[in-house]
Amino acid sequence: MLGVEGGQSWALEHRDLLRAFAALPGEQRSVVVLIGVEDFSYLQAARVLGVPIGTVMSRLSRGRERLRHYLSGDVNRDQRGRNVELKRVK
Amino acid sequence: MTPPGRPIERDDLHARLDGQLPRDRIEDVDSYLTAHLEVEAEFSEYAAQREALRLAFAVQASEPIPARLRIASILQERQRRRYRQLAQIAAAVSLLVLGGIGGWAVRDLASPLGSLPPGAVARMVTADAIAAHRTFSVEARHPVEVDAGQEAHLVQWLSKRLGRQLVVPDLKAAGFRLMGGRLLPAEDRPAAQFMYQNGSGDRLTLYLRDGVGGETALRYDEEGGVGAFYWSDQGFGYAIAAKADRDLLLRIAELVYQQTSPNGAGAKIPPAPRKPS
Repeated sequence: MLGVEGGQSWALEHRDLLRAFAALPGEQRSVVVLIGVEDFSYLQAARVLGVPIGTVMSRLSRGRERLRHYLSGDVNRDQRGRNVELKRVK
Repeated sequence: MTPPGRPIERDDLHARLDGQLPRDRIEDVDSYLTAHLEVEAEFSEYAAQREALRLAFAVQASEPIPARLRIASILQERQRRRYRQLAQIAAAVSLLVLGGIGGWAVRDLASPLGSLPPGAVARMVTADAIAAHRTFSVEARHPVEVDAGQEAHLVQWLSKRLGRQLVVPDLKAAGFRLMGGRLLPAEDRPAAQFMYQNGSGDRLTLYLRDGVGGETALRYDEEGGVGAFYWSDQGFGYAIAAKADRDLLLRIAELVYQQTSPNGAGAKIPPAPRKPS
């Protein structure tokens, strides 16, 4: 079990995480939850949301990237810092 | 099958993280990660983020979580969960495919919120309600899309968009008059916001959305000076938000509950208020 200090810090992280998560655009939030938390396959998520699988992938990628920047307190870096060697499937 | 030597793309890396990469591709992706430490570090962060979200949604804060988790350890955990949940997912998806049959139940399943634990849903909807309050309550010229002068139209429009007949609570007993309302985006379906104002110009908002699961106890949350009470009743989520003290908000929550609950005017606000967890 956690000590008191650890418990508090985890509760705070929890809160920060959910807050950052709530600040994501809704379409990215849905994809991040369905795939990352609910274990939907990409295809299932695409069906449930009624969008092509490529859209699911790009929303997932953008959502995770954005969440990472929110959590590191660097909200303005969303669109840069991408590795140019990696080509995205649209 | 995937031809060998195809360049590694970001989608492959996410698929590796989510355990959805074809088996014959795993080795290539892992070699790529070993050779590109910066990318490996980035995806380790996603792995940690993913696991932290799972914990946050499961509301299981009983174990410490390492600050950074490696992709490998996440994948093992994932694999175990995956098999357990496959049957469940298959059932959900086949229902979705059935489409129109039993529309309402399918709607709820189709909602990203429908299958989440109530505590997590409450937190998300409350956060949305507070964000919406902060955004629109400061608007001098356009606080609402449709004003109270067209209340019948407002109610008809928002009821249609939210998929159930809405009641606009009368809050005059607490000194607040309806200003109007607006439609807002939420996950996969719209939400509605009604705005009220009292004689001193203080504003409060009622946020409504469908598809939040059964009933949730009243809970209070506060962010940046905006307090909110949230509860859900018959799959419909309600949040009252304002820069006001908790007692006033509670009184208003009770007024709203009495006017929207099928239990009617005699109803007491259901469960006792809880401290934010």
